[in-house]
Amino acid sequence: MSIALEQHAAEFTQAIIDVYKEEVPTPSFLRSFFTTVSKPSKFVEIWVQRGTEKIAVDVNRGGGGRRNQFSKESQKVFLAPFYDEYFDATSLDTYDNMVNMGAPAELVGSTVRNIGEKLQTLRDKINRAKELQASQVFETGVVQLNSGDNIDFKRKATSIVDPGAYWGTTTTDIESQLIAAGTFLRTDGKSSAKVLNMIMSSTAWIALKKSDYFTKKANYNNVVLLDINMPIADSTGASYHGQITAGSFILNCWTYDETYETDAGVDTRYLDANNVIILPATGTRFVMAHAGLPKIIADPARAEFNFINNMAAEFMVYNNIDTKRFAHNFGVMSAPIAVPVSIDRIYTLQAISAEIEQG
Amino acid sequence: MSITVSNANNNQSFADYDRTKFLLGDNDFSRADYIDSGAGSTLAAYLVVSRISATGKLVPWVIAASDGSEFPVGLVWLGGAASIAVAASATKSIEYVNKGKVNKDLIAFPNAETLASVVKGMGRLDDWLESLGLVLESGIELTAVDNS
Repeated sequence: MSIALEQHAAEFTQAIIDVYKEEVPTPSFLRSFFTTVSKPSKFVEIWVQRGTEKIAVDVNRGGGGRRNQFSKESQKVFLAPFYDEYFDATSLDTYDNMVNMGAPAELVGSTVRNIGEKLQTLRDKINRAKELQASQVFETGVVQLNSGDNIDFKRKATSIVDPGAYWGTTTTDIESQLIAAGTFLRTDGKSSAKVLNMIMSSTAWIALKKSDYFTKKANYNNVVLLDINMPIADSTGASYHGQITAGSFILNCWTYDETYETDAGVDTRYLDANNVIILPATGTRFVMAHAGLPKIIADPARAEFNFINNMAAEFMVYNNIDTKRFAHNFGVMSAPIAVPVSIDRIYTLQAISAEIEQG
Repeated sequence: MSITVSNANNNQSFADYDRTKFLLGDNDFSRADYIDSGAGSTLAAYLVVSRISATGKLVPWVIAASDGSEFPVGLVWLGGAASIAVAASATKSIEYVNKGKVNKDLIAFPNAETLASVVKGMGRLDDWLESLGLVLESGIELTAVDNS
């Protein structure tokens, strides 16, 4: 294609008045329930020893005590999925200018900023993948992988419940459903928290507000609309609406309607709009583990000698020259896996019927 | 200790560990040859064994035998191993525990017998083993493995 005349004349006939580069925020709400850990190893593992709630029994004095044992535990090893997103910086005109023309300082700065912004975009992509992992852990307990075997954390079937009676019907006994959730977290999850976080779609929230349970029992007038002591701060993507009670449990109500785009450009929800996720507000052990990332280590004394080492990091930014394509690549790597260490402290309730959601 | 591996694929593997102890104290051991019955076998730890009177060989307890092996003499001890293989008709020198405290929950029984099975003319197996000098105890387990 020939170079257009405007390429020459634009400077005299038109002027840029503003530039808008869309920076799409990355939700972090679901990730905020996970503690970030980075290790240099390729595999990461957890050890879990589940407990019991047995009680002491009185014995005869002088007859000896009752023998207890602590003999069972589980080891779980994971090969974290690997994300490597890069772009070819030579496609940027400013890069050509900088390298080939002895660029002025402001042009060099512009190029570096441009590359930095694109690296941030790549990092955001990986952060969305981490958010998706967290959503899959909360919904099914299975992290879906594209290049590998799915990681199934083996949530109990009783923690993923379709009650058959949905919130779209105003007379549904929602309180019983929420009490059942709290009871599971207490009995199976051994959680002592009476305050729970309930994460739902706006569809579920609207249905909840219209329900008999909400209007007649939960007493909308008493909903707390602001609580500055909420434990989850510094995260985006969710809205806090207040607290409701169910039996002896208090539920913090959150809505979360965030979406991401697939490679094909299809907007997809992180969490199914039909599902409600219920977690203890305190005492959960969820870890966003990051396995080691390969880094090229250059020996300054011998420029020709490089070697690869694994480093512990959440992300690693790299650049390299593709000498065959004469391309300068910049990229971001990460190997995260969202691990629900306290696996039975997650409860998924289908609150909205699939038919309503599809309609 | 036993290890049970599950859910192994290219990206994950679970292992459940059970470190329940069998020997709980004051134990005495004897050593004798264990003889396979002829087809080759896997000898499990903590199995109830008895001796054929004429040969002195150890065999799994046979409740209806009349060659002396109807009377248990102890429980197989393999030094912590869960089992060993014994070739067809081969003999293997093994230890068995016949005194002291043992974890009765780990005792292995031949032919689906139980501690309530009756030793010929002598009463229940648990009473018989206690009369040998074994003290059958049970631990209260306060831990559990994770979902798998």
